[in-house]
Amino acid sequence: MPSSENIYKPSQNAAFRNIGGQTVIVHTSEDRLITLNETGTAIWERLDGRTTKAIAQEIASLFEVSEGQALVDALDFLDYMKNRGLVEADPESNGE
Amino acid sequence: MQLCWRIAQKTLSVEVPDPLNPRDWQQHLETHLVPYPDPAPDFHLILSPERGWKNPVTDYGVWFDSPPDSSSLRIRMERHDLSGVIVKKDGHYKGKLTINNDSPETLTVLLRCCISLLCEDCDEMLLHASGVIRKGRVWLFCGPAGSGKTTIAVELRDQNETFSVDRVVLRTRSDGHIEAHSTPFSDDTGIARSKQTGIVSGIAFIEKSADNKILSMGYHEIIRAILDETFALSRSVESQGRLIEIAGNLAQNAHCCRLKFQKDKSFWTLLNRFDTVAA
Repeated sequence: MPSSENIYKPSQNAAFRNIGGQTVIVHTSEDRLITLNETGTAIWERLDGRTTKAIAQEIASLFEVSEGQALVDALDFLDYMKNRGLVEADPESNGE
Repeated sequence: MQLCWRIAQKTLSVEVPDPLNPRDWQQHLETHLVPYPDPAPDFHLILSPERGWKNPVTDYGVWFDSPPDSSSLRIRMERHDLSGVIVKKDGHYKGKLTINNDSPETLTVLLRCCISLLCEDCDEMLLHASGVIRKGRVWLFCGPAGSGKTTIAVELRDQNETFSVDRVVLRTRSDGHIEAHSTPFSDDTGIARSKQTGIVSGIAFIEKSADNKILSMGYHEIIRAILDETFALSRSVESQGRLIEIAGNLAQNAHCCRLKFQKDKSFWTLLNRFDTVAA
């Protein structure tokens, strides 16, 4: 289960594009296709070295929700994406 | 002996030994294509026929190998009727393949693979679809084998012109519209004219039904359906990303729908109405 201090990045198997404000992602090995809504897209676009906690703080501000709720949503989202091989933890930043 | 073809603005060249005279190949493709001599084709294949040979492969396919210290790309192709390596260097492809027959089907498979590889280089896609020209624009029909794609484009065309029978090449123009290029693949009818180009007005994903019905589709569904009908050999992230982009442009700029149709011309009334409303 992801933690708030973890850093995640898009998987090397994830091909993606922003189409009309939504992010479309294809897992190139498993031919899985996922479309992210506005919130998912906002989190995905911030997988650039920021911790999950930092991303949640920005999402909270962007969508005017509590930081606690944003963190729960972000952790659930990343867990979902990790289980589908679309994000991977950054080993160096996570102390591995 | 060298045969050259121009398909969707790409030049393909096939060299065969003189004793092998693939008249069937020429007739198969030159019914609708004029030979196009080109000293520097985009894709050049040398074929070595070996009658009686059968490739004992259990796992057929296409493999890519790009050594880290080389600027070239090595592509290995294996099927029961062909085997060989193609090298891509400086944007051009050259390959040597052993084949065990000179059937039009083998040639079609080879050329389709060549076109697919060239499409990936140019941000284009090779789509499994038939097409007709209506009001100056192209309507495409996608569906599994036997669903009626060719029937619609050939037998059921309603005062429209057959654009393509089995495969089209799609590219995104600078204005965002999708441009389609016809191809001669699998056109045993010889009806589809060669070298046609047109702006895509819509795509219908078809299935036979007891009655005619048009169903709307969401972006995700459209993109999934388009990618399912795309013939792409490379599974790289870059290549798949480009395909998502073209599929996304189609979803945004073309009229896409699910079409359930009876095997007669009556569904065109529905499609005309959809075309008008969607515009």
